[in-house]
Parts: sequence; C-alpha cells; structure tokens
Amino acid sequence: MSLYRAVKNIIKAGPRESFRQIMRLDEVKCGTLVGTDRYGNQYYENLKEKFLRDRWVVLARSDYDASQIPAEWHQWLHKMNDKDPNQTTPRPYRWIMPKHVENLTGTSQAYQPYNTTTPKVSSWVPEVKARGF
Amino acid sequence: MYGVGLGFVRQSLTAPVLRSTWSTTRTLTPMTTLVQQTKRTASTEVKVTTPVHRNTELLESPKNIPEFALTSVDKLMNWARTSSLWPVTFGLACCAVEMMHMAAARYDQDRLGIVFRATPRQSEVMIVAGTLTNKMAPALRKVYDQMPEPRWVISMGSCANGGGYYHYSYAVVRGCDRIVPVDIYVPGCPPTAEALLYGVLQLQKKIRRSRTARLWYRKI
Repeated sequence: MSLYRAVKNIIKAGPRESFRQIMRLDEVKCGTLVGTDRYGNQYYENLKEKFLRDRWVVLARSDYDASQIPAEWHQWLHKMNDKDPNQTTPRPYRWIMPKHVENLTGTSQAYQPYNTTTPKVSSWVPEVKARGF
Repeated sequence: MYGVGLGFVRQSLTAPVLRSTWSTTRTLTPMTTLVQQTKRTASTEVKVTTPVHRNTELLESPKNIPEFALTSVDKLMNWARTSSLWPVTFGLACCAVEMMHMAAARYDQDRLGIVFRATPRQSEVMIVAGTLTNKMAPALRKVYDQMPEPRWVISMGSCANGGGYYHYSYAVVRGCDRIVPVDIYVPGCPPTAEALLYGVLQLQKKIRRSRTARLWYRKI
C-alpha cells in the first residue's frame, strides 16, 4: 500500500478507527461494509485493493483468532463464494453446524478426547506371596 | 492438547488431576461442560450454548492486592515473551519444508517476531518437524535440555504427534511427546505453513495465559 493511500485511509477512517485497524490488521484499509456476522465481525470489500487483499475482516474481539470467522463468511473471504451469507439461507444438512463455535483450546470448554473402547492391555499388579515354611 | 507450561501449572492446583506424564499434569474437565457445549438432539438441530466471549475463562480473579499488582507484571512478561519467540530449528523430515515456508515471504514469521535461531541456548521454542527416529531421540532430548527456561515445544505433523505413518516401525518413536513435553500439536501430513503459523499463534495464546509472577508470589 502506498503512502498516499495509507494517509488517505487514515484521514477517512479517523484516529480511533485507524488505531483499531492498525492493532487488528497492521494497516488501515478503507472499503464498503458488506456485512456483519452474529459475532460482530465486520467484513469489508474494496475491489481497488490488490487481488486477494480486496476482502478482509475486522474481528470484533481483541483476543482474535482465525477460527472466529464462521464457515460461510470464510467462503466469502476466500472468494469461494460471492454471495452475501446473511442473504442466503444455510443448507439444511445435519452435518452442518447451525452455529459456529470457535476454537476453544485453552479454555475450560476445550475438547478432551476420551477412549470408548475397553483397554486391550491390563496393568500388572504385583502381589507378594506370603513366604512360609 | 496440554503439555507442560507455565499457564498450565495453575490449573493443576485447582482441577482434579487425572494422570501425570513427565513433569506435566493432565486434568479432566467434567463431562457436563462438554455436554452443554454441543448437545445433539433427536432433531437435526445442534443446540449450542452461548459462545465464550473471552478466552480468559481459565484465569482466576486476583484475590489480594499483590496478586492485582502482579497481574500487570505477568502481562508485561507475557507480552515480552510472545513478541519474540525464537524457535530452534529441528527439521527432521518433509515437515521442515513447510516450516521453512512459514519463514519465507508469504507467511513471513518475522512480522510476529519469530526468528529461527540455530542454537538451542538462545531459543525458547522447539518446533519438532518430522519423524523422530529412535536414533535421533537422544539428540532431540539433548537439544531440549540445552534450551533455557521458559521453553516450549511445538510438535508438527502426524509423525511427531504420534508416529503417524511410521507408527508401527521399529525405528521410530511413536510421538515426540515420549521424549519431550509438548505444548502444541499441529496435525497434518505435513501441516501447511498456515497451520503451523496458527499453531504458533495458539502457543502465543498459551504463553499469554501464563502466571509466572503470581505463582512466584503464591510460593513465597
């Protein structure tokens, strides 16, 4: 991004929004707000930007993570789909999660794997036999 | 997904200990929380409770004034640690190529302060990238022992996670967590550079949760 455009975008966005975007995106971008998902992440588009950088997300939370983006918006961000996910109805398949859950690793709700089969190996319990004459 | 780490020690103080491997303790979250999270009903819907708004669920609230003060100290230390992670290069197999991609221009790990350091004495993360053979295992442990505290390990790829393709080979260690305590497991064969970078970001999150100063205060 050229200096001219950087300055122009900072002036357009204002100081507060510029600071927020620098913290989130490492640069200040300017575009049209295409939509907001239910978590408050904002999705922008500006086709004058460089290809594959023309769609971007400003994540709502400060502890952001790539897994906070729902699948349908992921499709839109990566140009798999041009449709606005807020306008389209989700496909009625059972294997599609109706609500997106972010990666909960490290929280108290993290997934813990567990075993459902009986163990094939049993541990040895040493038993000392009484010595007698 | 847990290994040894400073952020993990606190959990072992309160939560019930399930079993211990190495110097680490693993905890078991009660099944009720799992059931609450995704409850699959008879219909096609999956009921999901409200998402976690902040990932600080594991953090305790400070109890006294020194803990309040030391929270900021912890934050400062964690900030310093997360913003300059220097991984020691431990490329063993084809995963190392993806690890190099993470360092190259597209994913550009330098912007996160991650610089590969070819000596274990000046690095804090070890990325075990590739198949760990029996012959290499003592060298891996030696390199890990040479790293200064605090140190973290990222296990990259299915071979390092659990033997992977070579799980039944007589020459391969079935997971590098048999040799060193692992913090982050990155799945894949090999994982993409993007996946590895996500793993590094997860490690940064873990480091941000660490409570070094507060645990120090609790000890004295």
